[in-house]
Amino acid sequence: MNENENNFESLRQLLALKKHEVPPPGYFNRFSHRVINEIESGERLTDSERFFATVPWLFRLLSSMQARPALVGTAATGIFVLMAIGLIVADRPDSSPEVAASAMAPVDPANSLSMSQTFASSDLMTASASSNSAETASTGLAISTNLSLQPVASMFGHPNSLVQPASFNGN
Amino acid sequence: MGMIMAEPATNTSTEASNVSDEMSLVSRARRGEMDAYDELVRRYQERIYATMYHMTSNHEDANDLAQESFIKAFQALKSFKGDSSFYTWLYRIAVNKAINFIKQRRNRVSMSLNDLDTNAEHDPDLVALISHKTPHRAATLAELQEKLNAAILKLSEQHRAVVVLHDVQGVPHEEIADIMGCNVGTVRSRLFYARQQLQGLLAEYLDKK
Repeated sequence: MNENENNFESLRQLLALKKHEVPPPGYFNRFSHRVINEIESGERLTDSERFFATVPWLFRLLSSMQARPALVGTAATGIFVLMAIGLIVADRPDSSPEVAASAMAPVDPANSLSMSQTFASSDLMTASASSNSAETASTGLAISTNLSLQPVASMFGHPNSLVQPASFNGN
Repeated sequence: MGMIMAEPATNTSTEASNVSDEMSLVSRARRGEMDAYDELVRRYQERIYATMYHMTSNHEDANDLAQESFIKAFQALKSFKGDSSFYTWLYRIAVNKAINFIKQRRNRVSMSLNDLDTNAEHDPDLVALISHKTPHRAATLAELQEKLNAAILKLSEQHRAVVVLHDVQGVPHEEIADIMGCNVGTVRSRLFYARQQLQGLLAEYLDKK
């Protein structure tokens, strides 16, 4: 071991420099005061720290993410790319709401007929809305393909005066 | 002869008195007496700060870590059983805090070096190193300080802790083993490896015998 110590003699001399590094003058004068103040006021424990104390696994996860910025950056880029692809696909003309709705339609055979009729009506309503926009503007009745926003024919047992019977026969 | 015998006896009694005084302060602090804890902080603030500073090479980080270590120690005071000295127990908290901090900030290292005191220019080791042995005779102490800190930052957190505690702060191997929760052999091997690494990194500033 002595031989090793001798081998590192000049390194020991250089490390002596570390002992001469000192903090700014007067730094220690108020150090204990600051520590005691922080203990007494409890400022050290912020709301987020209190939260993390209850879910230590989340703190460990975030800490590990902090230690691997490249990994986090790659994951974030991946998510961004997926979102961008999603937006582009959603904006394509062949991805109309009807297609999306038919894709989401249940395959229950008992309901399949009524659902297809509903969507057929919806298609007609869309066509009607575009061709008779002037008419709808004058009557104040807006036709929407969104079935959930259709005016209700009766409300609380009383007929809804805003609802007019629509005919798709051209009469 | 009498003088020689008397000195260790005095030292031993002083040490025992310090230990009992320390235990008394710890007991009082545990009961919530803040002036007792203030006294404990004053006793160890310089050593704890220095350890944090030498491990991070950054004054602001060292300040935060030292304060957090004392705060955590106070909060955990009830769990202090007295198996080791308060000082060793406090060191363990501080070193673990520094190691975790370095692990988290591995890729975001920034130096904020403290000034050198005026005694550095007259330190015989440094005078010899600069004026006679270093091939770079023009190297100033500030340059050496920067190179030395940069080299220390390249060590792993475990090796850095061992070299700082032993070679900079003079903590004995056995106490380092106690602080770091490993055996003395591990401390010695880590120290040897850390010194070898530092020697390689600082080769141009060291005397080649």
